[in-house]
Amino acid sequence: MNSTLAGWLQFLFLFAALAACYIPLGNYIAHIFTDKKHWRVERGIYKLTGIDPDADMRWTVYVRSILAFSLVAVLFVYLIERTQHWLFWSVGMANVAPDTAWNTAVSFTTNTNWQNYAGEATMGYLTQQGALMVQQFFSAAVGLAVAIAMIRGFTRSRTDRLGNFWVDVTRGIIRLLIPIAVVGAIILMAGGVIENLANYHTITTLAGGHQTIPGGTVASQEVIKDLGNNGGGWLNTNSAHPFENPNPFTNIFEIFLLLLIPFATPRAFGKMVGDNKQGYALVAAMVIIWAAAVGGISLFEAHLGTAGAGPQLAHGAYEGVETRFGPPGCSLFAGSTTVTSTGAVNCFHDSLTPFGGGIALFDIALGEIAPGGIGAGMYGILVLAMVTVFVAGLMVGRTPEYIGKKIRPAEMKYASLYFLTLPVVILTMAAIAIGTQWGQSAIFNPGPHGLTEIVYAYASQANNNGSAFAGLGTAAPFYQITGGITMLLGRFAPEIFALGLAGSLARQAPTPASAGTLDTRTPLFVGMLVGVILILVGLTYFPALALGVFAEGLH
Amino acid sequence: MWYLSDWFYVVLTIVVFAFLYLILKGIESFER
Repeated sequence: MNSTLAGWLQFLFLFAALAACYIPLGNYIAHIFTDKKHWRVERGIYKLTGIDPDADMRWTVYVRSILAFSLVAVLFVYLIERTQHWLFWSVGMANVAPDTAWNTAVSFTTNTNWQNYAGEATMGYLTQQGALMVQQFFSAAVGLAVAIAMIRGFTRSRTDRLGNFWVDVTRGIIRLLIPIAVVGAIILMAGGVIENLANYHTITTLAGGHQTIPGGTVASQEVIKDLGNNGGGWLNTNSAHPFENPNPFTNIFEIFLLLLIPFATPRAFGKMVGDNKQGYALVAAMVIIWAAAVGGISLFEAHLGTAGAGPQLAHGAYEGVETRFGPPGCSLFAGSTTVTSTGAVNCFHDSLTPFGGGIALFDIALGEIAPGGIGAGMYGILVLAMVTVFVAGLMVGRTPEYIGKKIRPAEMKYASLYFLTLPVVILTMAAIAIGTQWGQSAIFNPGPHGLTEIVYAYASQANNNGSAFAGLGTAAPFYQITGGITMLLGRFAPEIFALGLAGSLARQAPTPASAGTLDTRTPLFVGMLVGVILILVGLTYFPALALGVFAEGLH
Repeated sequence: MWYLSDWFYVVLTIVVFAFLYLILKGIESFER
């Protein structure tokens, strides 16, 4: 079978599988966060940790809880990494160096999973399982909790309470992530992904050389790596390694996992606000952008005369591509991992064609909203939907209302702060890197590609994606420190503004729809939403894309 | 053994979170 055709059949299969899960999983997510009863195991956790599960939090208290929880998490992971050699299950690994330990602790706490290290050569089993994998569950649950609190801003009125952060996180982990992760890990193991606690084995090859074979509980981390849109692999080459991703079946299953919850969350939104069509409108915008991303990368990676003689002769851009999956499998994975905030990779993004890599960068710059990271995609697209309603109100004279809530100056200020934060952080950090010797000395590919590598690195970290154009020496202390700060600001500042917006919405009385209300359930609104998203991002990043991607691609 | 760089990163973490907390406090005072 033609490999391009096989790639598109995989896309259609994925689409069908995700569509089949949309209603049941979305309804289940809505049920999890509206259920009045606590499970016994949850009550046990609340009792053990001294949490009052019935306390309803103001949005500011919700934010404080997130910040406190994440601060402790960063310091805890850092401590484990710095002392792993003296702890059990170190597999002989030395203590992680301070700069790498800090960057990694921040990275896994913020759901980014940017990795300045090779997992199998740096992290012991305790660190991988007890620190990094735990954060993969926690950070995903935090993102989902923020999305749920944001949705409550629409469903509640005349209150400043958005729910209980600790209850939301606990339920997200116990009722959603762990059950799917257990089933998913078994499926991955059946597909050939390794799962053991064996020490590394040194073997003699047929040529007489020696090779060290790593072990590890890879399947159980692989599943939450994808399901929680984390992306941090056990092994250095991530999903290009046969121990993490042995065959086309596990490849398609991993892509399915990373898209599963983000694509189902709009259904939970529709269910919770009592209008399922609102969920359909948002998911339609997400699907359009996802399909365009995959289609665009596939187009350029299939060469079509844009990538030079080599790729044309090979019928595809094969450099940096795992031959088990080929350019179509790489394109589907790259498009899906960059429109979510996952960052897992099954091919080398630095080797993508200039425009193929440019689309991956553009996907990340969208702010991870199509469908975005777990929870983060939902609250991101809700903010942009409100901006769209506001713009539409200005253009066609409709009253700016969304789901029965008015979009007033206060809401627009929060929305503006939300979508301005990431470009400010990304472009400022990139400018510092380009303008200083510390940043320049780590550029291995000078010229337009080097600029793209730097912008990609900060865009990936700020948007909590974690994938990399690896031709940049980000293990240098300058990039470790600025990258860590970028991840923290890129994760938590938008969450503060999103929750502030939710608090402002929750305080409002509901506004009944009138003849002047824009119907946000129509294809027209979906088209406007996609247009606003593309224009906002396109205008914001155009200079960086022009000097990097376009200059390289058109050269 | 705690090295100087460990303290640097602990303090850096606290400083960044303190900055985020200040953003929150700023919004709170703005809302009032």
